[in-house]
Order: sequence, then structure tokens, then C-alpha cells
Amino acid sequence: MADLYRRYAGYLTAVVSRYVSDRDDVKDILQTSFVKIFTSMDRFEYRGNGSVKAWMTRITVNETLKFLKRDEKFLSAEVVGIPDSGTDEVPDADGIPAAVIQDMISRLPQGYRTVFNLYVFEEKSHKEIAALLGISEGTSASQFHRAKAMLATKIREYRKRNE
Amino acid sequence: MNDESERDRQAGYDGDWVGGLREKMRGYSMDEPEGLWEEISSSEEIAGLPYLRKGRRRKVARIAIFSASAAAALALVLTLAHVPSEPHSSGLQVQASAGTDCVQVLAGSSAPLMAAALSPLPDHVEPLADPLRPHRSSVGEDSCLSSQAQGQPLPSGADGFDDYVSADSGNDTSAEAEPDDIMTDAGERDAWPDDLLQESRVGRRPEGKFSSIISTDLFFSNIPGSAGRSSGYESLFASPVTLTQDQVYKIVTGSDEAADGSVTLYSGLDEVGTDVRHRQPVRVGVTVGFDITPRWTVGTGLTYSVLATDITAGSEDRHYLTERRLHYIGIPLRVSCTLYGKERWRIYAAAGGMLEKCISGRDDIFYVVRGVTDSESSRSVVEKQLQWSLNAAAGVQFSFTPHIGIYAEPGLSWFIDNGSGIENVYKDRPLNFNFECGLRFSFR
Repeated sequence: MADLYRRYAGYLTAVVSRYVSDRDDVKDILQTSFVKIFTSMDRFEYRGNGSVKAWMTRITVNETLKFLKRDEKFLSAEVVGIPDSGTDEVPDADGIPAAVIQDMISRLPQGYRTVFNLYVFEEKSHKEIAALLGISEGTSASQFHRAKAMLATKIREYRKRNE
Repeated sequence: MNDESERDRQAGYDGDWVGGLREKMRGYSMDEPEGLWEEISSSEEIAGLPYLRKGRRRKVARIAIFSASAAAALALVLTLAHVPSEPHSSGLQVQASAGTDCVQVLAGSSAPLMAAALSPLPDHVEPLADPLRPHRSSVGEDSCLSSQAQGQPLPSGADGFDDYVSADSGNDTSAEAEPDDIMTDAGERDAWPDDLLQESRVGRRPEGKFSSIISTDLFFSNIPGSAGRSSGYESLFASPVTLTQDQVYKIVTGSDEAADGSVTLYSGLDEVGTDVRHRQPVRVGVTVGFDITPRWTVGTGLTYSVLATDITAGSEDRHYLTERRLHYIGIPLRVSCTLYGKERWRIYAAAGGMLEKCISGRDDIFYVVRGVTDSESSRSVVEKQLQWSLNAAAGVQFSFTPHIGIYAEPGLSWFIDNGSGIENVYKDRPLNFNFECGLRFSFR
């Protein structure tokens, strides 16, 4: 267990931190996740390299989503009042340190970054995201594009500052 | 340009930057929250007690505290005494939970199947009981850990695992263990690789929650009693409870006065003899077992046995009834081997020996004339010799929870004659069947 924890605690901390900003909440989610991981070991089905990490990540993301869904309005509340940028600019992360990208993502509005993370890192389609979060596909796509635009803007500004 | 082709174009365009972003963040890690491991490792669930949260904690705890507190303390002491000075070498960390009876093994006892899953880890990765403890030695470790500690992405492939988000590892994402998971995909539950499955099924303890490192048994056992009779006057002298010449004379001649003061008449027709009835011995005890391998367990402990023998010497009308009680304390030592283990069930064979010492013995002697106790006396019985025995048994165990199970063990015991001359069932039936059953408390 300790080996498993040592190996993946940092990675899973980063995963959760992309969804949740508050450090105490991150800790709570990670604690719940690791307990679930350790107590579910006998049910884990090994499928080769990568399956352990994928399994642990899935449990952790599930716990994160459960945490977020306790605030049922966290998604819809933020859509209001934030206009669609209408830009097709993409967040080109080339040359930007991962820690900076992580910070940028974690500063996106809650609903945006949830959809963004599920789409980009968990490889979920908007249909799947809609089902997971209980929103429409259109809302998922809309929030994703706004998140993408906001991230692109942040990256552009970062590049300007560091030129 | 129609909407569809525009969407395809957009999807491909998204794919480029999404893939790049995904690749950049692949393996990215951050410092975990302070105190996270301590809270995880001290949680009850890790000790395998999720059922306690459902209101059964008080009940289970009462049973466990009442019956196993001494055993747990003994287990803890013995465990600490046996844990190598470098606890991390075994990955085992034992902690007594304050306010509970539990001995929690906090780390390093991952299920072997999980360990097998981890087998592709680089050689430099050693199990650590305390993951927060700084890593030592090889360059490979330092480079890996330093990158994590500094919040930098792990080098690609550094952990020996394919990243689950990679395009060619889609199958990997299907491993799941949460039935109520939000993200559970259909049809995910395939079998383990055959070799691992076989390993878990044959000749090993149950893995996962139902495996254990230390076990404590509270048991009850007995062996069949026996009875025998020898006839004739000589049997009175050869009685297990040696009668004095006067006592034999009283039986034979009836020359004493009865309780009512009348003089009884000699009855030469009465059949004279000695009946010996060994009651079923009762043994209770506490033993502690240590898993030296997943398959082999060594155990020792403390037992208490009571042997009761009723000896009737004389005739039906007048006889001496001696009720003998012998109390033994024993120290067993045995080795058991798991023959089959799956989930809650375990079948095993065990063999070993036991050293017993009679700590107390007493004969209560009643002189009975025509059903009326004429006189009674008592005397202590001392057996200085040690009683050795060998035994072999087959057992089956069923675990209700990861920590509590029941077991039953039919076996065969051979009690070696210690030459003491004190009659008991051990001497009457040196080779005897025995049956033991009890509660087994397991700790990881």
C-alpha cells in the first residue's frame, strides 16, 4: 500500500487539483480515494501495464466528481454572464511548463475546468460528459470551448509576459 | 463548407492541441497534501473495517475486546519483537490503534495480485512502509523522486506503466472496481491473467481483505472420553486411585459401621471391581499464529485443560467413588500449511506438539454404602512430570470479516507416556482423536 501511495500520490494530487482548488478539499478527496483504492484491491482486475494507474485515476476522478456534484449548481451557475468568446484560438501549450499549465487550468471557472478536464485528460466525449454531470451536450460543448478560449488567452498572456 | 466537414476539421484541430496538452501533463505530479498518508493509514477502513461503519462496530468491538485483548497485546509484543530492526525491509508496519483492540498493519501488505501488478516496476523501487520517508540509494530513485518532489513531470516511461490516456492503451482504462462509479464502463470485468488467477486459487491463503499476517485463536477442544472396567479383588489394589488396605478390607468384609450405625453384612455375592470413566477433557486456549509465508504459518500460545476422571472401586453396594480433576497448562507449537484458500474459505493442515504441565490436581473421595455417602475426603494430586504430545489436524476456516472467522479442526493426538502413574485419559488413550473449534482473529 505504501509503495502504491508513494508512487501515485503526487500524480493523483495533480489530477484532483485540476478539478478542485481548495487544498483541504483536495486532501479530503484524496483520502477518500486512497481508502477506496486500498479497500478495493481484491476487486482490481489487472490488465497489463497502465491498468493500475488507470484504475486509481478512475476511482480518484469519480470521487472528485462526487464531491463536485454535491453542489448541483456549480456548472450552470457559472455559465450565466460569461459570454462566448467566439474565438477559435487554441491553447498551444508548447514550451509552457507543465506546472504553469496546471495552474492555469486550476484557475478556470469550476464548471469550465470540470468539462475541460474530462474532455482532455479523461478522454470523455461531450455526450459522456453530459451524462456524467447531468448537463446537456450543448452545455458541455459550450463550456469546453469557453474553457479552451480562456486557457488560450492565459497562455497568450503568459507568453507575452515572458518574451 | 457544410457543418459536418467543419466539425471534422475542428475535431482534428482539437486533437492536435488536446493531444499535446495531454502529453505535457502526462505523469505531472504535485506534492501531496501534508499529513495525507497519516490520515489514510490511520483510517478504520484501511484496517478492513468498513462494516463497522454500519453500526456493528460496538458489537464486534465488544466481542473482540473481551476475548482478544490479551491476545492482541501478546501479538503486538511478539510482533514487535519479531519485526526486523529495519521495518521497511518487509514493508510491514504494525500499529496498535488507541482505544481499540485492533492491531493494524498499515502498509506493505498489499495483495499479492496487486504486487504482481506492480511487478513491472523498476528494480530500484522498494516497498516503503512510510512513503513520506526519504528514499535512499540508487541514482534511478533519486532522479525519479526528485522530479516528483519538485513538481516536475515524471520522465516518460519512468514508472514502467503506459499512461492510460495514451491512444493505444484504451483497453487499460477498463479496469475498474467501483460498482457505483460514475465512470464505469459496461463490460469491463474480465479475468485476471491465468497465471495470477491460478496462484490465487491454489495452495495459498485467500488474498486481499481475507489474508492475514497474524492470527489469534480462541478455541475450545476436546477429545473423546473413555471408560473401562476390571473385575476382581485385585482390581481394587490396581485401581487408578490406589486404595489402602483398610479401605479394601472395608469393601470386602463390610466390617465397618454404616452411616446409621448399623453393622452391614458382608455380601460375598456382590461383584467387586473397578470402573474407570474418563470424561471428555475440555481445553480452551489462545494461540497466536504468524504467517512466515503466504502459505505457511507458525503458531504458539497458551492452553488450559481440565481432565476429569471418575473411578469407582468396590461393589455396587459399597464402593469408593473418586472424582479426580487435573488441571493442565500447555504451550503448543505447530506449523500449518494452507492447502486451499479462496476469499472467505481456507483449508489447511497442521502439525505440531505441545508441552503440558499439571498445575493442580485433586481427588475427592467418597465412600458410598448402598447409595449413601458414608464418608468423604480429598487429597491433592501432584504430577511432576511434563506431558508431551504430538498432533496433526486438518482444518477449515471461514472468515465472516477480514478480521474475524471461525474454524474447525478435527485431528489426531498422541500423548507420550510420561511415566507418572497418575491415571488420566492421556494414559488411557495415548492415541486419540480430538476436535477443536474456535474464533480466529486475523490482523494484517
